[in-house]
Amino acid sequence: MAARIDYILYDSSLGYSVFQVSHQVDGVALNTTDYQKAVSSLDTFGKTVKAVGFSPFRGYADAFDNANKIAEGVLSDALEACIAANLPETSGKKSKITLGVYDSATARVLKERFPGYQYESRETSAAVDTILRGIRLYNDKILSEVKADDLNAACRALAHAYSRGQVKFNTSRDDVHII
Amino acid sequence: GGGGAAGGNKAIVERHRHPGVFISRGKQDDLATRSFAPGVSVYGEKKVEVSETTTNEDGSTTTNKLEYRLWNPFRSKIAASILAGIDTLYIQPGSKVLYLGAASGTTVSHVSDIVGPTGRVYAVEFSRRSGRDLITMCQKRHNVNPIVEDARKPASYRLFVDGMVDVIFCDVAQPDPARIIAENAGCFLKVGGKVLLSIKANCIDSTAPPAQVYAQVVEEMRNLKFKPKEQISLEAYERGHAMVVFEYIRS
Repeated sequence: MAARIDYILYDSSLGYSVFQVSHQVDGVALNTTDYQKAVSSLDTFGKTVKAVGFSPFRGYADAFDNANKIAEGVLSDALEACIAANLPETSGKKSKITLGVYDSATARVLKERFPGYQYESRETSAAVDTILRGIRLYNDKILSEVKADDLNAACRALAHAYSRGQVKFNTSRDDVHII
Repeated sequence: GGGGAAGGNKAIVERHRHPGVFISRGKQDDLATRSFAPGVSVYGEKKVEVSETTTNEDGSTTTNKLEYRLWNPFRSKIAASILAGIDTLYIQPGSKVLYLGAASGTTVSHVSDIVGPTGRVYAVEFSRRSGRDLITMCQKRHNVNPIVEDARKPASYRLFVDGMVDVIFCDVAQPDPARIIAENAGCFLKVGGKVLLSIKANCIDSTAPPAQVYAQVVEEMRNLKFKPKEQISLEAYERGHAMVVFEYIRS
C-alpha cells in the first residue's frame, strides 16, 4: 500500500500553490487504463484535490530568482513562507503529515527547514506523480487566482531569462564565446 | 509581389494533406510553412510571397500578402518524414509541442509556423552555442519558449512549460532516447499524447544494422508504456535515420 499523501506542493511560473488531497489515490488502481482516463477528466480530478493556498511571486525578478533556486535545489524565502503559511503546524518530529513535491531536490531542501513533515516526490510515489500531472493539466481551472494568459506570459518571460542566463554564465562547459 | 524565390510572382502555394503544411509550386515543388514572423529568414531559407484576396460581406475585397518559407527535407527530419509519406503528423495548428534537441532552431521555426498563434512550442537544447541562436530565433516568435537546459532533467525546467503538451518531438543525439522521452512524458505529456522520435541508428549502436537498432528502441519504448503507431524510414534524406510515432498509454 502506497503512503498516504496529505498535501501537494505545485510550483508554476506565477507562484507556489498548496493543495490538500481530499481523495486518496489508490496505489493499485494507478496503473489501470480506466484510472488514467478518469484522472484525465476535470470532474473526477477536481474532487481529488482542494486548493488551500497560493503564494504568488512578487513580480518578475522574484519569479526568476525562484526559478533559479528550484533548478539549483536551494530553498527560497518565497517557498519557505508558502509552506509556513499553508501547512498545519506540527508538534514534533513524529508528524503524520505527508507533503508531495515535484522532485527529490525540493524534498531535500524542505526536509532541512521543515523536518516535522514527511515528503514524497514524483520519483518515490506514483500517487504524487499522478496528482501533479492532474494539477498541471488543469492548473488554470482549479486555481481561481491563475489565468491561462498570465501563466503563459510568465512562462515565456522566465524561459527567456533563464536561457539567457544559461548561455552567459556557465562554469561547466567551455563553448562560451560572449562578445 | 514578385521577387526572387521559386517562380517569382507566379508562385502558387497549395495546402498539403497535413494541416499547417503547404506545397509551393514553382520550377519545382517544395514543402513550405506560412511564416509566423513575416520578413524574417531564420537560416537563409527561401521565402515565397503570395497575395490572397478574400471577398467581404459588402462585396468589397481585401488582399493580404502571405509569406511562406520553403522547408528543406535534407535539413529537417520532420520535413523528410512528410515527404517520406508519414500518415499523421500530429503537429498541427493549435498543438502544444515539447521539442527535445532543438539545436539552433531551424526546424523549430517551421514547427512554430505550423502550430501558429494558438499553439505553443517548448524548445529544449542543452548546447550553449546552439542555445544562443535558438534564443534569438524565439525573440521574433512569441509561440516558442527557449529552454537551454538538459533534457534529462525535466524537473529543472518545469516552470517554463505552462500545462501539458499534446506532442513530444525528440531529436537528441543520445544513446538512450527512450529514457529521456519517458521522463519528459511523465512530467508533461497528456495521456494519449503522441511522441515523434527521430532515431539515428549510429548514435545508439554503430555496429548493429539500423533496422535492428530501430527495433530495439521500439521495444524499449513499448516497455515504458508507449504504443508504436507508425515507423517510417528517412533513408532517402538521412542515412541510417528513421522516424517512429508512438502513443503515450501510461498504463
